[in-house]
Amino acid sequence: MKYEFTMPSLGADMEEGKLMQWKIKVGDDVKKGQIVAQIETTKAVVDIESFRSGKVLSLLAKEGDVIGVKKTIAVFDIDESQEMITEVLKKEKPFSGINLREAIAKAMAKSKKEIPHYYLKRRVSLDTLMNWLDEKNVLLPAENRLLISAILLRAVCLALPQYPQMNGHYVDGKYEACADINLGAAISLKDGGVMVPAILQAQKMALTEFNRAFQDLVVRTRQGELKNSELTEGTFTVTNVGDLGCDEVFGIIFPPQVAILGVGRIQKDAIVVDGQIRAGFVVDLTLSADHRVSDGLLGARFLSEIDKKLQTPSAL
Amino acid sequence: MDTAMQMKILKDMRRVRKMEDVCAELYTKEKIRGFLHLYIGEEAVATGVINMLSPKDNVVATYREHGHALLKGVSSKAIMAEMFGKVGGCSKGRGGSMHLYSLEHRFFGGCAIVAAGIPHAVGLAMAAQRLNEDRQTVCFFGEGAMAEGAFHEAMNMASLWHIPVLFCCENNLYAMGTALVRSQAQTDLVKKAKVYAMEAERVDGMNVFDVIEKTKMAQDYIQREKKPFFLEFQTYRFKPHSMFDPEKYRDKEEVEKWKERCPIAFLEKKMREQKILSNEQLKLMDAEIEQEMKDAVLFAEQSALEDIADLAKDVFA
Amino acid sequence: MKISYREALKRGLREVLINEKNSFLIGEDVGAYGGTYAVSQDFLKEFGAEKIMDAPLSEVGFTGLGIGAALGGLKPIVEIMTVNFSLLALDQIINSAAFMRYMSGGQITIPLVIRMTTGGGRQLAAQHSNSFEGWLAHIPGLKILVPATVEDARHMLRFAVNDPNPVLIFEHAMLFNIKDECDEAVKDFNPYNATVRRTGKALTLISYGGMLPKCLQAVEEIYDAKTEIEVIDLRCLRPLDEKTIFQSIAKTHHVLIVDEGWKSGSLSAEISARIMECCFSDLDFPVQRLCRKEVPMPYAKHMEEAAIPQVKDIVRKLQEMLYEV
Repeated sequence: MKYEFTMPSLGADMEEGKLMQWKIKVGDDVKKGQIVAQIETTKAVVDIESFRSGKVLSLLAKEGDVIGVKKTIAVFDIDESQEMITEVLKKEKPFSGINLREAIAKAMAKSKKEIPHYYLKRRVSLDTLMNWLDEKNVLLPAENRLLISAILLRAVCLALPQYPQMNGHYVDGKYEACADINLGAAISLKDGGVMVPAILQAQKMALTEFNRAFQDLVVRTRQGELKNSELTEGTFTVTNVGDLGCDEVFGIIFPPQVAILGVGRIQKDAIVVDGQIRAGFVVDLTLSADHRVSDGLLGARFLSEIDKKLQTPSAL
Repeated sequence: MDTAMQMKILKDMRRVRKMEDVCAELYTKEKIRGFLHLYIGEEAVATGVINMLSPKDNVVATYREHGHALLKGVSSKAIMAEMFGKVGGCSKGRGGSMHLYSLEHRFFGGCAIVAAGIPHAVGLAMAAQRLNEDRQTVCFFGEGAMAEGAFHEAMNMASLWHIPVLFCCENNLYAMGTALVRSQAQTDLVKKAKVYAMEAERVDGMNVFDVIEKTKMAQDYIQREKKPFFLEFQTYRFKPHSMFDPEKYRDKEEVEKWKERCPIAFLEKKMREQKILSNEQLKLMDAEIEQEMKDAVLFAEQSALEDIADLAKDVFA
Repeated sequence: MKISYREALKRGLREVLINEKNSFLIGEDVGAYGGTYAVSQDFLKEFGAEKIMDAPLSEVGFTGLGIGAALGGLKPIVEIMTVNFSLLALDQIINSAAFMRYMSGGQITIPLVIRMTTGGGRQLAAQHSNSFEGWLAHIPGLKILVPATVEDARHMLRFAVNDPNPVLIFEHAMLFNIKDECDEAVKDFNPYNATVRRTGKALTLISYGGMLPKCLQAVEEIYDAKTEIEVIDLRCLRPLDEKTIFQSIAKTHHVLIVDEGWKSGSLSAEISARIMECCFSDLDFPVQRLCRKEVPMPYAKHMEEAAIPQVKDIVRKLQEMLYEV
């Protein structure tokens, strides 16, 4: 089985290490305890031992590379029988313990400090969509009825593949677009906190499946039954304050993500159609995005794309 | 030593080493923070000595004490959770690697000031003596502590007042990076102890049979004479002092040479010679240890963090 | 009947040694010599060498032994001859006694008492005249008691010995010969509260330990019906009884703190800061302080007197605050 050898963290003050020299090459048999590399930290040059025995499949880092701690630098093939105690930590488990308010505070402070946000707003007509939804839901059994919040998320999910600059992670000065769309939704908790779990691999789901996944996510969030990956692997977030009666929200990007879409209240407002003023359903969509990765022009196109998806509900 | 005892000793040494291995890896993954001092190479000392103790006996140790705590009965779960800084830890996540405590197991730290625990042991032993409690007191410290005033003051008082303490010096030759020969004029540590009119013996700390034999001998003496005893265990730390140590102060050849004297390999060889250890037994033993440590890590990961509202709790009783 | 501060300390100590089965006194010259300040005179004969332990000159060692003994179920009373030598034992006092309970997640209890004399005024020069009690009050995990009266000297120890936490008692060298009435059976005695030694409405004078009698004398000298001065004896420097201080300031609006420690980073600085934080609007005048001059203590008498706040200094300061402004 594959074992990822990572840049070790040797102390709280170590954020990255420079790979000075590999002491192994692809194809080598490595023994536990064998020195595999020499790493330079700000304090010293240290020999790094392997924690496992196995065969070297690939060396991902090159000599001279500066690599963040815990990033994979080599992959070994190890015997299945080598039980990996530390791997138990990777297994899915319920989210536990952490002081939520503190976690939110930390993440948001980091975001505000490090991410140069830009903001866009677009008013979108929902007349077509609301009609379509009414017609559709009449025919569906109660438990399968489509939720407007799920539909809005769905539109985002369908718009994202054309805008890889919106869907991904910015880590250690580098942006990486993600192939999967792990669509995060800010969900308020009963006691006042907020969590942002994600619908994992949302791009693979059909509409009804997506709708069900969203409902399930809300329930599990409020019951505290989320998986760790749902909380850590989101690639784009939607925050919806419409239920609470707010017209618009300019969200703070949830790092390491690079954009967040705000959804305001769906309301009837005066709109102009063909030169006539009449009442129609509208919603204000806002986009906060990371200027290190995209710019306003692209953000505007992305919002327009979402609008387009919402105007053709049958394609959702 | 009978077969069962040898098996127990072997398993205990392997448990200690496995736990340290796991800790080292988890440190590199930022699950464990702060300082982390590993006992790898020195397992025979704590294993031999603590196996000669009973649960009611007192142990005072240093900041390289994960193994001592485990052997004294503190669960691997409580130790690992402590390393993770979780409330399920043996010190509620307040102490970390260097401050493992368990009153229940009469384990009094986990002291990160070199030699500071030695007078505590003298006081604990005096208390047991005065309260007529049937418990021994054992104090572990490194040879570096023998340059500290606290060591000398405690040795003098214990000898002067006939306080029954077993002093266990784990001489791994380096006080962090400073070799014994470079820091102490008298490198014969047994001689150094004897100036306090105290009985002292040298032990091969890589040979658990010798550790046990000399420990028993010292215990008999303490019991009989109601006086302290000093043991110097000659041992070696295979790993760096702590995680961030480039080991510029010693040669790789020296480390490799000592590794050939690995106390675990030594006992295994002896047991194979006696034909009391098979590959199957070893495999089974390791599987059990693996499971124990896996459970410990999972427990630590899932244990809750202490509520920040409790930050000021337990400053005072 | 009047007794001396020394006699009061002695009675308090004797009472504890008799009543607490597992108590013992350990320190330099506490036995055969009778105690440097004669507090344990004849105790060796009365209690024997097990309860009255003459320690070698090993401050780290016997303070650490005291911690161990407390862990093991005894009630040690460690006497460090003077606060000056406590510097040798600071590691044990701070890193172990003060912190161990917290480091162990609340498992460990250290019912340890450390007594020591403190203060200058006897021409003992720089190394024997320090007042470090305010400095030790910086440390969480320690309780700091400073008996300034005969009654406190008589009764504080009993409470300290029965406290599950490490308690440090600072006995001021200049107080040993003061005499006062002493009730053997006090009621409602709480050593951890500050006490108003004299009530007044014009100004709050805060002090403790060796400075308290000087403060009371100064107030006596300038006292008149219009300038009633309230004198607070802190008694316990940690935890600090803020309530008594703040209540008084709400009434008087003027504060003078007299502290024998050096001004920089002193206890007086801490109290002043807390007053600023909590009762700024009650003040009609900036908080004033009289402290030790920032020099190592000189030997010559006139120089030593000039280095420590004296009655005349306190009088002058009070007059300045009361009349000239």
